[in-house]
Amino acid sequence: MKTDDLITLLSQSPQPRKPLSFSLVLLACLAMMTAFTVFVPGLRPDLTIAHMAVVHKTILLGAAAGMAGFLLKNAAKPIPNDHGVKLYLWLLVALYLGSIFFELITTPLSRIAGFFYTVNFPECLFFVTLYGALGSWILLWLMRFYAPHDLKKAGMTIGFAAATTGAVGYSLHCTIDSPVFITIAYGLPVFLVSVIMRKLADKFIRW
Amino acid sequence: MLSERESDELDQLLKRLVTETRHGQAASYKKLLETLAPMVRRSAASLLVRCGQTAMTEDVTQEVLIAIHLKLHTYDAGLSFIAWLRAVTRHKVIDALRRNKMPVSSMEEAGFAEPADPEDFEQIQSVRHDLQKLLSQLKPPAGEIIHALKVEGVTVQELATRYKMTESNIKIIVHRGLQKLSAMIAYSKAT
Repeated sequence: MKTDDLITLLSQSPQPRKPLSFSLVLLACLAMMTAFTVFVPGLRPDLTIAHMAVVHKTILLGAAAGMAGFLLKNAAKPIPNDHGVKLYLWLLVALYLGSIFFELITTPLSRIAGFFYTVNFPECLFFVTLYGALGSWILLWLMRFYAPHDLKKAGMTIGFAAATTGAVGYSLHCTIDSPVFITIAYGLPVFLVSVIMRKLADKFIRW
Repeated sequence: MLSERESDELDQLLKRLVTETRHGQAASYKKLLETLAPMVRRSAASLLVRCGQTAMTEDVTQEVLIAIHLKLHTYDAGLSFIAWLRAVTRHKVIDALRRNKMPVSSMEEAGFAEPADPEDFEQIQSVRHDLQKLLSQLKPPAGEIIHALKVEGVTVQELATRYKMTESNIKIIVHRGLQKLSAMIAYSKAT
């Protein structure tokens, strides 16, 4: 086909519908993961009592998921708009470091270490990885409708966003609210899923 | 080569056409594609010629036009449309080269290979000759540095190590060298 014919054909074709936004899909993923948590592992029994701890944990994980969503939107464009990313990143790091520091000066180390010997630790690793993997496939499918400037970066961001969203969903089951525990037990699967998606992305994303 | 003002005017025109396209005006969309086609063709050719694959230019041009049709929603109206177009073109060129098993770890690393078309080859030889002539008129090592940075794709860091200078010095040399080059070109055009 000649380029002029293609132009005529394209100009007569209707403009394709805008794909679903990442925010909407991430919210849908969060709803699905939360529903799965409610019906499979079950909600934590002290959910109605431990208000502040749950709120703090949700803020920590939610901030990471929000950051991931922001990065995902940027990664999906041919030209990224990095305005504000560094500030957000530093705020997130400060939030985590501040929480960890506060815990280290108020809680004995032996108690924090004890959290890693409970069944919650392997459960966190398993469920966050599982949720992250499932969410990644959904986001990978969506990313094909966008135009990422760097496929590997896009893949890593997909893994990060899916796993952090999964972490928020799963956190309603886990009874441990320690920031050190959250950073390690939730951070490890997030890191793992991000690295795997970075490796896989350019094989699946074509635009 | 467009001047900065002409480039801005073109960008404004393209942005207006994109806005009208988004409002469903088919005529504006056709005009947008017709305006973009030669730009994309030139841009793709200039990238492909580095790998000696100018024969792929028309295919890549069509792929870019299809990508524009499908991915126009990813264009952020606050940014330059020409920059967005270049990014899409670059992606499609790399995609096409990879599909043809060309080793393109980096377009910059690809350097200048022999072009497929003999007419292009003559044109490139002529451009290379003119470029070398202009660069040789600069105070050494400015010519070598500009050639390495802008043609070979060597990074500022590597040049700083090679010439035992700071990165700022390299940038200053390049900046002043380019200013002199544009003055020389302007003078030669005037006389």
